[in-house]
Amino acid sequence: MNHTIETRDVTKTFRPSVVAVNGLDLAVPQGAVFGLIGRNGAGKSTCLRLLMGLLRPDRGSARILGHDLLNASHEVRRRVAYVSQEQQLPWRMTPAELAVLYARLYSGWDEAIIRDLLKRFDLPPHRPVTTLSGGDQRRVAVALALASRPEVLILDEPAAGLDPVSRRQLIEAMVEFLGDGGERTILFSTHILADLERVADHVGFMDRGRMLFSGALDNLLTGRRRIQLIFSGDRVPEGFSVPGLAHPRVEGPVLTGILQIQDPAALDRLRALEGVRLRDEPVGLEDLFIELLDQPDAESARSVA
Amino acid sequence: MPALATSDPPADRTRLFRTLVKHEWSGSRRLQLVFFYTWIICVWLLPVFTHPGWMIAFGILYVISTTAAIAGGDVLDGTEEFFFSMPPGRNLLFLSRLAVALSPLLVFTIGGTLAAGFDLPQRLWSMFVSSGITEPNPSVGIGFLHAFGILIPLAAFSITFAIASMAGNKGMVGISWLIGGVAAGLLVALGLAIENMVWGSPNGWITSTALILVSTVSLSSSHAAYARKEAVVGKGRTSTSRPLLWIIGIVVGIMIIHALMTFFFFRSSSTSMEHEARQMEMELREQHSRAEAESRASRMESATTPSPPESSAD
Repeated sequence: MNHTIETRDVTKTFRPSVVAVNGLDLAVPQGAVFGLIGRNGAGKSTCLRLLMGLLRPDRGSARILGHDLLNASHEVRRRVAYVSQEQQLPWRMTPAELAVLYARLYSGWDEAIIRDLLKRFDLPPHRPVTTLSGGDQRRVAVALALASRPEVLILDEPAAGLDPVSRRQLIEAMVEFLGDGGERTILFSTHILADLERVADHVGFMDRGRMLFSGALDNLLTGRRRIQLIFSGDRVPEGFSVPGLAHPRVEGPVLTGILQIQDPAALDRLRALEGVRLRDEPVGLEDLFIELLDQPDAESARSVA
Repeated sequence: MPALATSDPPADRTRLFRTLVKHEWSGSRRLQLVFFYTWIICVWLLPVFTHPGWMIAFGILYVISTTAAIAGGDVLDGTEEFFFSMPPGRNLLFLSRLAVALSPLLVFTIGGTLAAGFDLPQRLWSMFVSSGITEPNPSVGIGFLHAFGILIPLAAFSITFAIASMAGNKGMVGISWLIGGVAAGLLVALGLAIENMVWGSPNGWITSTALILVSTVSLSSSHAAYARKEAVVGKGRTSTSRPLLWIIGIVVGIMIIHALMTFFFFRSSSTSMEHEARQMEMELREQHSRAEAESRASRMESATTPSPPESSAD
């Protein structure tokens, strides 16, 4: 498979001995929309900054389009755009001036897109960036990145701090960007799982600088069901267990957990149990996220994944 | 995935470089133009900046006001991630900023020296002189101090630029010009002291060489290091930044640099004056002793020579 974005055994330590990314392996296929999720401090932003060549890895390699961006040619760098969480735009410049700068630097620049996005996001083109709110600055940055029509778009928490309407506009703009022709790849980190479910087709869970799981979102969600077994007595019988039930919780006569379905008949067998009522529902990304990241250590989280 | 060549066509590099230079220039043009107009007025209308002392002072003032702000602008504004992730990359960013910051300094210092060498301001003024409006100024002439007029600001600039561009925080950018100025001052002092020891009086050879060397090494090493610099993430300049603190810092810094320069120049010039005085004293003593010896010899000669016989009147 063609991987547009790839890291191999990347490790990055900040002084004093804070391991932000620890032997990270990540592979994003060409044309994928890959959502990176994890707790605060999981190493998502560091991973994206390593990929962009903004940081140097202590060990391993981080490549986009087959190149280490730190040393890549302008031609390769033009095919990648990045918007970071804490990134500041030049404070004196207006969005219109920034658009002129981008037009000179990016060969794929599309003037019509920036006009449309600035209008749609209701952003004033001739006001200095410093007079705009944090959310507006973020939207200007995203609009500029989308209008440069890169092959690879990397966004670090693009929707953080935005109101629901702005978030929805941003998601729509991303979807349009994907649909405007060409094989475009998006890698973005987020805490807002609803946004991720709306646009991503691949997902990666990061914790403590490592990748716990990465793969197609469909595979992850369709193979799991949230189940609730309600026993007729006042407690769950001693020694009762369900094979493949991850992270079980017992409260009186109720046993809850996420069932990894390897055998399609497993649910029918549970339903057939006497004195037990079964309720099951599809698993949301948030359930999985909490389940995975609620493990006491990385190894048990990995085993759940 | 087809790997593209890692080198870019020269035309592309030139276009990107021009774009960045234009961008950098638009960011600092107001301050640069203030310096440029001041320089034009002072060199061509009031020919004061052709004097090496003024050239050094003007050059240092330029370094203090602009160099750190241009070289460390990204750290101050929090825009290092933004620029590092753009297509041109760190190499062209460094070179474009160097071009925008260094060109005016070279124009001011080399232009001042050339103006002094050809006595151009006086030629301009000659029409006022010939019309009787004013009297001619004494010609300054070019000496090794004019080399210092170029090289001291250049060394201060290079060290400041290197530190500010590699700085990992705003504080380091803020004091980079002070380190640059003090380092250049110390270098001059050391060079002049060595020249005094070797030749008995300063002639600028060692100092000038050291200044050129330090300038070249600082710029080339920081250029190489900048290509691998990790982007600094930080908040940008805000309205709560304290301009008064910056102004106080700049005034204190200028005073320190001025004190250092005065001390070392005074010391070196007084050392050379002492040396000259000693030489004059020795020459005088020699002259005196020669004169004494001559007078003694003439006295002895007159004592040993028989006096002519008195003519008797018949």
